Amino acid sequence: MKLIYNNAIKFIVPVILVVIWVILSGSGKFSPLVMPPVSSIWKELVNSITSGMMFTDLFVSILIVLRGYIIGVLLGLVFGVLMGIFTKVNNLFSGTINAFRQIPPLAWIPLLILWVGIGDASKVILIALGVFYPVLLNTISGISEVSTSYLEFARNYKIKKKDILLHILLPGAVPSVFVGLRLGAGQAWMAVVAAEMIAATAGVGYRINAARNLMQTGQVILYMILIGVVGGLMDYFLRKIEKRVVRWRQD
Amino acid sequence: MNEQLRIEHLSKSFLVNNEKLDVLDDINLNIDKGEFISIIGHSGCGKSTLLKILAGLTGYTVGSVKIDGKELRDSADSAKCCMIFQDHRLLPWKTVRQNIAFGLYEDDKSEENINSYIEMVNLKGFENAYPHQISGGMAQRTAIARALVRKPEILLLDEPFGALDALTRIEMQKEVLNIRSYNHTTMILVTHDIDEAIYLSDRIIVTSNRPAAIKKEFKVELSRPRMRTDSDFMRLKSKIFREFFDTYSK
Ligand SMILES: Nc1ncnc2c1ncn2[C@@H]1O[C@H](COP(=O)(O)OP(=O)(O)OP(=O)(O)O)[C@@H](O)[C@H]1O
Ligand SMILES: [Mg+2]
Repeated sequence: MKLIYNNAIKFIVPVILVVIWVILSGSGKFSPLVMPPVSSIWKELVNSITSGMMFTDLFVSILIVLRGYIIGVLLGLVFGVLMGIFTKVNNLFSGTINAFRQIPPLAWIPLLILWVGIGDASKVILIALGVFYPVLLNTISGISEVSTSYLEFARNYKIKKKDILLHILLPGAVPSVFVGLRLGAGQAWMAVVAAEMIAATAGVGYRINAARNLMQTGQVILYMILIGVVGGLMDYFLRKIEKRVVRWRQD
Repeated sequence: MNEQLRIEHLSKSFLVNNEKLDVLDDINLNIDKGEFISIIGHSGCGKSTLLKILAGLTGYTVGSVKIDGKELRDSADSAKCCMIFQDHRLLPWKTVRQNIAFGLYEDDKSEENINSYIEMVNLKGFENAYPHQISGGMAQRTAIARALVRKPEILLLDEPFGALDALTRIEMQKEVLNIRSYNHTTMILVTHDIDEAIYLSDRIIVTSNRPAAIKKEFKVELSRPRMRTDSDFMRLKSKIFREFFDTYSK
């Protein structure tokens, strides 16, 4: 009963939003350009599915996001682990990284286009950049926040350095690393949409921009919903993986 | 008899805000192999510091600590004294079995060896549980097994049952005696519980206020198993109690 209630409560706000939308768009006070009727979005959905356009766009964007995400995560993990463990490595990089971190990834777009062109590479790099920082920072803090009481135990029990790293520091950092992975996934979607708006021939961000130019507001909204759904799914899967990996956590 | 630990003229002070804080004052203590010693003293007097020195977690400069004739600070290779902490400090991401086996040499990691310790601390059936899935008493028993499996010379127990409720405490004390019937590791217990000390120990050391010096020593010559309600038990208890009462009124 409680479970049903908890799940039902999640849908209250979306339902209210849709109802408001239906009322406003049906009131005749707004032009369909500003607030298209729900039915037109449904039509756009059917069209994009039957023409296959939606799948092409999704496929293009997801592929780029995955490439950038994997690169960003790997770099973030490697640097995060090294900086979390070795104070010297941390001192060497932390100042520089902190300075670069202040630059929003999107500000790199012009330079990236000049350096590597408008192809996939610039988008992949942009995404990797956006993913890198949250993964890095959360890995570092995850490692440094492993309770010192475990380290005291390890010192007394003469646990080898290698085992301290593999069995205490890294597993202890995992929950925090997952926070970084999830934040990074959000960043990745933001970055790909922005990058595709500037230079692309397909993809969800490109399509939103193209639809805007053609004044197809229904399609703009459809793709916004699509991005939200895909982003939500990614977060959902990451959380599922997290649950499996950190089984040892209370509840 | 069979002397194992010899502490001579051990003193220790910390620098706190550039001021010297004396914590241990000329401790002299000899402990035989297999003995069970309890240390009782006021909060903050330096008992944990003494155990931390034995555990190699804090250094010492004045005096000497010898285990089997070897100065402790020179023998950093093996865990001679394993500490049982008040908070069990089991790794939450490892099961009971993995916690016990963690950090052992391959030879000692064998199934039978780990099993025998799991049985010793009565945790059969819980090998694969994670620390958050077991009770505080069970976690502390796991911690004891994790220490004993290394075959330490001396087991150091720093208020190990302080976080447990009164009933579980008594269960744990029985458990410790049960473990000692298999395994005669020397044990040094720091506690605030006079009952606990009398129930378990061969000798009870009462320390003074900070800096901790050995103020009095009681040999517990009651036959085992001991009954908390025996008149001899009570007599000793009130004797030790008065020891503290006097310190307070001074
Ligand atoms: N690393 C340290 N640096 C500075 N002072 C310390 C340090 N460790 C302990 N002390 C001080 O030494 C004194 C003795 O501490 P200790 O933990 O040994 O007391 P204790 O007898 O175990 O007390 P309790 O019964 O409350 O556990 C305290 O005043 C404490 O503040
Ligand atoms: Mg203490």
